[in-house]
Amino acid sequence: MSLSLTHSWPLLLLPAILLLWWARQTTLIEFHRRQINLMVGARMLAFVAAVLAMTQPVLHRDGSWMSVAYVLDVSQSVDPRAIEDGIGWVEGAVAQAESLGDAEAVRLVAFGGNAVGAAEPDAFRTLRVADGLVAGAVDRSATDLAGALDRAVAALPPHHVPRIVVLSDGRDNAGDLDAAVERLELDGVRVYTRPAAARREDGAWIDRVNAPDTVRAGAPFEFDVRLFSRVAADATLRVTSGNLILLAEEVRLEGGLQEIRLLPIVDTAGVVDLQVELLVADDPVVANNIGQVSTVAQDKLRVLYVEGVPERSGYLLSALTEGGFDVEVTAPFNLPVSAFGYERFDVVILSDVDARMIDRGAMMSLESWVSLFGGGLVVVGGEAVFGEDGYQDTAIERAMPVWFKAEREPKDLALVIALDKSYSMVGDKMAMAKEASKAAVELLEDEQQFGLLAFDYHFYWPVPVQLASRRDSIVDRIASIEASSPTNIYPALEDVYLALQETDAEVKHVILLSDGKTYEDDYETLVTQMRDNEITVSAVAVGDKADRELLSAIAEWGGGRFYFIADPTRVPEIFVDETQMAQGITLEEGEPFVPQWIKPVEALAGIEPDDMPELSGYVRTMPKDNAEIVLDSGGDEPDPILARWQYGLGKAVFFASDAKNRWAAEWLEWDGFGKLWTQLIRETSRADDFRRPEFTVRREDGRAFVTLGLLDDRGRFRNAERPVVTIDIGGEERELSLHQVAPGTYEASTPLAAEDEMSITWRGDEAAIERHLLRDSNAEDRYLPPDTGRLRWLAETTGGVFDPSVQQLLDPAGQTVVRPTRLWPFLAALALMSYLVNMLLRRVRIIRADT
Amino acid sequence: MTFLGLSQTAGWLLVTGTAAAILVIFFLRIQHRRAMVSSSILWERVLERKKRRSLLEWLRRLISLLIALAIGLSLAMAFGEVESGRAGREPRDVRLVVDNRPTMASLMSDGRSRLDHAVEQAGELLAGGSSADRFTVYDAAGAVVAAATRDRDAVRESLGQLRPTARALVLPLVEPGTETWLLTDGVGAAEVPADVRVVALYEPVVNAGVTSFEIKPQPTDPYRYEAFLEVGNFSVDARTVSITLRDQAGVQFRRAIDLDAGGLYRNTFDLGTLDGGELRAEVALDGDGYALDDRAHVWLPRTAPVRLAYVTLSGGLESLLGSVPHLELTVMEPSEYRPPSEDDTFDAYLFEGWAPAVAPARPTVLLGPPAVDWLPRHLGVQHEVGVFPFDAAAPLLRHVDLHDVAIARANIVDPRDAVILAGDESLPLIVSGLRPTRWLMLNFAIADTDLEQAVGFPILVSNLVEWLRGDAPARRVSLGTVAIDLPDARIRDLSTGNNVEARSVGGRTVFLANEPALYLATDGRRSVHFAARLDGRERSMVNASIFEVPDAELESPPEARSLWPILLGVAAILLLLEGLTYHRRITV
Repeated sequence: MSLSLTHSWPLLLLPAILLLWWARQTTLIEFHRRQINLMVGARMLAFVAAVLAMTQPVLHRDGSWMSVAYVLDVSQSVDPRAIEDGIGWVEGAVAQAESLGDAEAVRLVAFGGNAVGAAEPDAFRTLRVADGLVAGAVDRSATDLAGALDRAVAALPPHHVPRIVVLSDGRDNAGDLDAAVERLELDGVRVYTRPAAARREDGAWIDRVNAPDTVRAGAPFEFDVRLFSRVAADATLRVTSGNLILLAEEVRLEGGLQEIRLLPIVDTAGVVDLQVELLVADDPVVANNIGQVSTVAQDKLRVLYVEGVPERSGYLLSALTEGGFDVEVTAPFNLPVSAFGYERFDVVILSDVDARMIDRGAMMSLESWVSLFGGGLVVVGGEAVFGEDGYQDTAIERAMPVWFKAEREPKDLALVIALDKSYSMVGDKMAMAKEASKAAVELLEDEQQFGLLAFDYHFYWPVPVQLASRRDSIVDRIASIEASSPTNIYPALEDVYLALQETDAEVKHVILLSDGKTYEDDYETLVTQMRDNEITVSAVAVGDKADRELLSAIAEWGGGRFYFIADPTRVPEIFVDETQMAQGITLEEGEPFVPQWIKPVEALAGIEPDDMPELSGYVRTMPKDNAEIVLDSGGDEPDPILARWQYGLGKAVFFASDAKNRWAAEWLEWDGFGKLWTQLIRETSRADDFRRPEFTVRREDGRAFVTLGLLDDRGRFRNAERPVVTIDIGGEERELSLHQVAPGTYEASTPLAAEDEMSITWRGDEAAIERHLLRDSNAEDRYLPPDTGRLRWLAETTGGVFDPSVQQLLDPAGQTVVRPTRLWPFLAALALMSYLVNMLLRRVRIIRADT
Repeated sequence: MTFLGLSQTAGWLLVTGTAAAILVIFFLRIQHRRAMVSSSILWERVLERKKRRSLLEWLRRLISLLIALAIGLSLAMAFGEVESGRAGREPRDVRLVVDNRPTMASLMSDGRSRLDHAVEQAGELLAGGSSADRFTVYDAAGAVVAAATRDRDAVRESLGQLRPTARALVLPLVEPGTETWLLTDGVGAAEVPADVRVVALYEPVVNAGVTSFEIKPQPTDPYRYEAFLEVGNFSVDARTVSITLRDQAGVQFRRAIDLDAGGLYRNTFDLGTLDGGELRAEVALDGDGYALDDRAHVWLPRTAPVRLAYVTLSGGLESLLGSVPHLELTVMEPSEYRPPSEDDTFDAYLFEGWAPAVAPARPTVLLGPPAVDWLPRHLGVQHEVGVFPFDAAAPLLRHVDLHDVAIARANIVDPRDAVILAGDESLPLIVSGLRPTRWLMLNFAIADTDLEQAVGFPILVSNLVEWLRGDAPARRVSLGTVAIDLPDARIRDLSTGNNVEARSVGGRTVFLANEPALYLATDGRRSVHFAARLDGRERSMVNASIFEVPDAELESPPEARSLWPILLGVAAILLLLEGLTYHRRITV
């Protein structure tokens, strides 16, 4: 306790009291001396009291006088019964405090989006409420806890231990609670919190939706929906864009908060306003079942599909088109010879393309496009993709995660060449065929067997089936072959079949070369029998006069390859390829197998390993050191089937089998075929060009903020630009200039009311970019359970208690305040009383001389 | 006239009663002593009565009565706390909104700021109010500066503590029965409701300021920064503005620019030649009346090489680390390791497959370490880790795709007190912590994964080095109260070298940044730079006021003056004087 004087100068008047004493000493008044003394004493007291009152003394007392502000959340999200319970609790607390004589000051505040005071707890029940800002009414459409706390602090009387009790669901959606708490801490105001139950509506609602800022047209994207349901139920989530239903998915509501990921697909590029609607039976409130968000769909991924066997491109083309890719099919010789030629594409697929059909310059530019421009390259195997004369030592091999060679022992092989030596073969054709046959022999290992049957109308064996180790003798016999007579294939082929049946080689292969028409016969039965006996037949048609129809059929029945060549100079390379394939060094076919999963990757997400069908062949390769092997062939010495790696800025994938009805025939029937290829191509696609303008918009505190980041072609900041965007709010268009705020970064903002939507368009050098800001849904329509964590944090941060008892609330807990008491009114009263006594003593003789 | 200490009825009853009491007492007849007297005395009495009835005697008695009434009524009315003004006026509920946004720091022609004037005007409003009036003071953001009170001295004290703050103007809702006053310069103010009374505090100010000063790493070279500087002349006429760009080594750029009113100067600077550290942009202009935008700071991350000790048995990352720029690598075996207290050669440590028993007092990265006391407790081992979540936004994992990484074997550790960057609570795979040193741990050996084949592995290693370097551009914060995410951090103003008063609120550290400056916040393990300055060009537009007429007149509030101190003084003086005159028989 202490005393202070507001003004001390009046004390200078006190010595004047001596005048009154002097007057008493020299008085002319005829009263008894003692009455005069009383009279003067009373007057002196009045004078002193008046003078002291002028100094305005203040008595400071320490104490724990409590003042409590009860802050009641009456926003839309709080259950009316919880509000009624809260009012009851406040009434009880106030009554208990009054009975204890503790809370000298009670303040009552009801709040939603704003705060309104109440005189007594019962007045909470008759407060005006509105779903918007109306003077004198509580706005239930929002929850501004920070504003309510400020209002409560303003209402608390000074010189009291301040307490605030918040009765709320703790789901504030307006105001800055952090800043308010900071102020409360500074002011030493403790906040006690009591959770209020959310509105007890049955049913469900969408709490939040989230989609990526940009998606790819044609590709599924992750669209996350957080919803809440009070009960378990079946429901449907429907995603729409305008009038178009993108996706409708049945979901099971478990009760409570639930995150659901949808994978809708947008077909066209551009700005997409997405709306998701929750359809659930018996939902009493449907206004809260809608969420919306805007995103931008970029163009479909562009794929350049190069197929070595164009007539078989349909399988993969169909899968990719259905998978949402923009596919352009082209021939190998059309490949651009400059890396810039691939700029239009995100992925290039080379499927069963013979390396010799691609210009070396095109290969190098393709490699550069992958490594320097971040392109995606997928090489799919096939009969044409093999061998040391294929992609080995090419730029394509450099980009691939595998080497195009295999470290394998050659197979036990019996190779027979059936050579047409009819009249028409005279000249270069025969010479080339003989040279090709010699080259084939040279390729064979000593333990492998070789035979050559020459036929016209008749046939004979210049080289009976024998070990290739007799190379010199074989070459001489080949050289002796002379052309004569017309062509008759069937007997020759039949004899080859018989000869090979007698060998015990593991692999038996026939190369049939002809340039003319032959006699009709039952080739299908013969060749099918050969195939059934594991003898494969390839056919080479030389020149326009060859029976291409028959020869291609023979190759197909025989499980081999068909070649048609106009120029006989290509015969040697075909024979070499066939020999290599037959040797099985770089090509494995015939034994069906199921690829083995080495590691699960995103590209195979949703594909069950057990569901993967068999493949019947693949190109043998060797993985490079840093290659990621996703699938292999299994067995003791597995070969890579699906391998990938990062190559420079881009990605490269090698699929060793094919994507058509030769080796992957069963895959074409498999429902995972399209999924695997679309996912694999997406994973491999070129990353977004980092030089692309970054154009973002956001809504914050009643404003729309627009940010644009610009880089030049070399990836440097574009400075000193003056970008202008066009904004459209409710059909009213206007321009908004952006100003630079950082290297290459431009910004602007404009007011945007919560109920308004806005579209923003920036027209760049190449194309216009558009973004939308959609209307915010009302947070008060989401009846989430009370956020006890937030309420607990609020209480603990300010030193209060979560869910307190009234005793805890009124416990000062060591907090004291200093209360000033003004003394001058008492002194003034004393002066008045003393003066009246003085007056009375002048008129009433109370002491007589004889007493 | 109004009674404040009593109800009006009680006040007037007190006055009336006091007057009546004084009148009654005054006219009481004094009872004289009974005594035997001669007839001469009776005649004397007759003469005396005659004398009493004389005019002079009548006046004497009248004056005595008036003085008595004056004394009594003065004391009675003082007790009732009477004040002048319209009788029976209801006490007002007054809300003063004092605009304390940054532009209010502009100096006016008398050398005092607009805010000073606002506080002064608020004081006048207080002085003009009644002691029965309740005053509440709000700042520009709507926060309560002084809670509703009749204690005008307390309100004045609160007003004196107002400082400029960078917040948007929020007016309290005008409620029936309240009276709201807005004291503002009108800069950037939107519509003011008609029922809010406005005190305009505007006059044109000379001002040029830095409106933007930002640095960004060049997209093609993350170690090379570029700065953008924008300076504006926001005076009402053309001015010559001096612009200076300086770092710790001295002035790097200086230029005087002629700028029209509203004109802007923009420039970009390649900072590739600078070593890093504080970089400051300043403007100077004759007569500049607004200092808050005269300078801006950035922190340029240092590119000095990190001296890294790579303690390993295998040395598997040596070649990759060797290719990371700005790194001085020393490879050593665990047996060669010396704690930093003995060896101050290294800035950071990378332990692979091994960890020291005592944490080094340097930032540390651990790859598949064995269990040691200072790291999270080992709980077991997990083989064949499947798909795991990771925080792609974490600086360490920026541009690193861990989606398809296969981990054959990982340690399971207790994740308490650690931040999980990859994995989850049950299997934290990459975690970081701050005690006892700043550490980051991969709970698996690189050799047990196919990370080296992952697309982003080199980037991951590069990010690890950047994490060890721990230097980044300053985060920009607005002037005013700054809350940062470091708990119990020490804040130092790098411009002055002084420590700044800070306190911990809810796990964050809060401090006041009243002027543009570069701050360093450190909690002993982490250091983060913060550049405080105005948060937009609009904050510099000190002349963009809604008021057309400068210095508008203050609207007069109803006059009211407390009379009781005067009445007490009058009473005291009369008590003294009348006491003297009474004993001299001048008054009765």
